[in-house]
Amino acid sequence: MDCKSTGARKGQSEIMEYILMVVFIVAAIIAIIIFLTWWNLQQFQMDTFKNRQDRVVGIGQYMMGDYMFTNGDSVFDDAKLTAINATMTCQELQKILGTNWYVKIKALDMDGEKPCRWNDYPDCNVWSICAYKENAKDRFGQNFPVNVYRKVSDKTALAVLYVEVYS
Amino acid sequence: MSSEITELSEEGGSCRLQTAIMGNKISQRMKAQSSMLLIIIVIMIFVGLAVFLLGLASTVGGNEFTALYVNNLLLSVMRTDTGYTDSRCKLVSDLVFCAYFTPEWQCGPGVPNCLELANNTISNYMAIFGNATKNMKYLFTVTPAFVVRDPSGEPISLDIGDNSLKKSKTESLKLYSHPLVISKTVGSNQYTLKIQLIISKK
Repeated sequence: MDCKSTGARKGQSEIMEYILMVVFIVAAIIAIIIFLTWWNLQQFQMDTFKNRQDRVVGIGQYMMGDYMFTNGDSVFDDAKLTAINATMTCQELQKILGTNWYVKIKALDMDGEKPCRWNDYPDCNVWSICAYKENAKDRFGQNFPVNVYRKVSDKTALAVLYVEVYS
Repeated sequence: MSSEITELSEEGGSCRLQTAIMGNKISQRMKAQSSMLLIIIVIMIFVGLAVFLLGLASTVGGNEFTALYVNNLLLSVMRTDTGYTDSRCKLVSDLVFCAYFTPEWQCGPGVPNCLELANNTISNYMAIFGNATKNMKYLFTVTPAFVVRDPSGEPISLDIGDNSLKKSKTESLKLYSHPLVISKTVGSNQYTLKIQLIISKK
């Protein structure tokens, strides 16, 4: 009778052990699945962030290096910027840089923000290229330190180039 | 006599049974221990994998953007006009040059000397830039192309900004620009300076 009960207990404990092992393995598999799913999501988000950042950096570098906007070496020319604002349309630039982006250059030699239009030049300090869209989604923008050359006063001012992409 | 033999055999049987039970217990304990060990090894592998993957993730960042940002910041500040017409003080880079080689030079009547003016101008521009974007700690380190040492043997360098950035190892995100080399010819001598910018989050 004792032997039987000992055998039954042994069997029970072995079953319990197997159940515990199965529970642990299932828990580990579920944890791994959750972790890998989270990891994939993180990777996806990181890739999305990297793609957007690459696009922003690409647009920024293009602007800083193009003689249409600068005098070379990321020094923007205020006369060129004002002329582009007055004569070129966003569609023409979108043929080069793609759609869904917005650029703002702000010279920091004046207080506040005075948009540069043909009539305001040179007493202005903000140039916007392609219109800012209020209802755009998934905005991502970065600031770049640049210079703006003031043609009238022959001075170079510290400035910020803000590039934003959206979907 | 026969009853004694039966008792002895019974005693021997219970002894064997006890030994068997003990052995069984020991093997069960060993089995439990090995299961525990297995579980711990699996957990360690899982944690190791997680740490490895997370470590890998933290190295993926906006390296191109940060490099462009810090180098552009150094270049932009150095190219900016100071507002003074003296050839030694026209641009910030001229002012830094003046602060290193002729720190007592005055850019105009009633104007602080080059060293003080360089400090003031750079901190002013960095504050303006910080207000327009985000505030940060910064340090401009100016060293000559050749090694110049003071009497105590320390290399002579001009530091403008937060000196703690130079030695601090605890800053979470410290970015270094490429050294910017600027040269100037004074008389028949050419002088070259290397300027490096270090920035970090405030």
